[in-house]
Amino acid sequence: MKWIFLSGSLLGWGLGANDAANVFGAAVYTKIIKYRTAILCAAVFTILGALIDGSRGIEKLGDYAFESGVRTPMEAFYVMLAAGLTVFLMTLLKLPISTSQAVIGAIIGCGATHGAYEGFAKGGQFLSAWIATPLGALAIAYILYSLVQRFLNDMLNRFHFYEFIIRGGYLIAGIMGSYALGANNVANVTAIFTGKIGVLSIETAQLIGGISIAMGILTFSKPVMSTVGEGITQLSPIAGLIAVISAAITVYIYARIGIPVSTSQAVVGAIVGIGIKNGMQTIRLKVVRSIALGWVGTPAIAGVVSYAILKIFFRG
Amino acid sequence: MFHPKSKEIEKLLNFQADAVMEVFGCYDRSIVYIINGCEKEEIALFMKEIRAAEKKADNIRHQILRQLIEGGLLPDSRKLFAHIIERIDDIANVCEDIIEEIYLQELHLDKSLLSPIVSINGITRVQFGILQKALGAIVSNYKTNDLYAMIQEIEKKEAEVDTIEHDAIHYLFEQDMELAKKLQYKAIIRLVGHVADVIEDISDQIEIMMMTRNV
Repeated sequence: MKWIFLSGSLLGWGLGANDAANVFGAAVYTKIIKYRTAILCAAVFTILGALIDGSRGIEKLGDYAFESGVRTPMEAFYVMLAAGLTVFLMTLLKLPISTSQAVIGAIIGCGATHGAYEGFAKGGQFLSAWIATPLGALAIAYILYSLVQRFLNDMLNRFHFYEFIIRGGYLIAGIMGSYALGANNVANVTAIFTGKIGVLSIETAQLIGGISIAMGILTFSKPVMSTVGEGITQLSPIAGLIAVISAAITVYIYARIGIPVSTSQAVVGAIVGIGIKNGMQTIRLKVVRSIALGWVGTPAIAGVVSYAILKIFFRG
Repeated sequence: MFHPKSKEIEKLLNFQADAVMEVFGCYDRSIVYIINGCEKEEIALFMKEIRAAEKKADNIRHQILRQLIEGGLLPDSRKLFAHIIERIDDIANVCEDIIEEIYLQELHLDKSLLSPIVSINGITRVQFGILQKALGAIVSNYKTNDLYAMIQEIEKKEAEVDTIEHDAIHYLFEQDMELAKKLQYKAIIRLVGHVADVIEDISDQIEIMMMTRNV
């Protein structure tokens, strides 16, 4: 039965492959940091984040899953399989996807097969966190950018200082982001197998989840890094740096609260915050629509997929 | 994080600017002699002198490019400096081209060209001096307003050169001489004025760099 967590590991692998781009994509795309350095740092600090600060999210999500109707290891397996399939399908269709939202939706779908709908009501805490994530990153980015403009603008005219800040800054931001990624998202990968389901202990779940995400970063993050990195480089190097740091802080705050959130949406929020400060038109309707679709659409699709899989393969 | 290579690149950039100023100096002296009348062999000697100075500047440019390839600066900074050193090298190339054209076409420049050419070169020399200061500022520390003032001054000098160039060509075509000769002289005047254009292009690059770095 121990192999059952592998469906979560596969989801974790995909999460790592996609989300590494949010923390190191800009730096790698603009060649500030070498790809190899980026993925090694990302992998190490993701695992550290998962091991040191991942337990709260695992406990919270694990309890939520059990209370919402995921009662057996096999159900947990199928729920993670459904979440993984949803992520795969939406990636294939080039639709925006958040792993956290897919997992919650799949859990609710499982509960529905029991006729239990507590997941909906209790899912409200996650929905409010998803909405608050880009808004929180927006606020943090706005403040950080204002502070940098006020106190560091003249110092950035010093050639060596500028080179140092950009090179060192992106490395530190990437490390912060990777740590936050591990701390926050490890719950998505293995939380469902912990607690009363009893497949994994919290500590083992932290380790396996962290390693799964790290493996995704190490093996398959390169293609996504180019695409996502390009999106952030529309900003100046300093602005891009602030966007990554703001997203990292936001995601870490939610890691401490114990709610997995989307790193991509945090980055989008941060970019908007900087744009607002600059008076630029960065709020594009297409992006807002895609984020809003993620809040509702992704869990809905994952819920339907989970319900269908469990009905067909499990309950007969 | 304070890459020692960036210090080396700064030093070489200053050397290159000095070497190109030397080329400009050779060209400036030569053209005055040529217009006042000298033998073809003397022009050949001037060309040799300018070529030697241009080669020295070119060697420094290659050294800088090698340093840039080896790393040491951010990719954006490398791109900017690569562009700047190529354009600084163009200044030396234009100076060499002017004397070469006079030599190859066996041109005997009319003395009426002396005044506008000397004026243009005088302004260009001052303009290049301001550019050297601006280049020094971007590799060390600068106040935004001061650097903008230098850039504006460079643009102003380029506009002055344009005016003299325009007036000289206008005057040239009013003279009673063969059209072919007028066109030859016009080409030389344009080349002489082109040095100021190149300097102004470099200042545009500096302006772009400032915009990129500004928070």
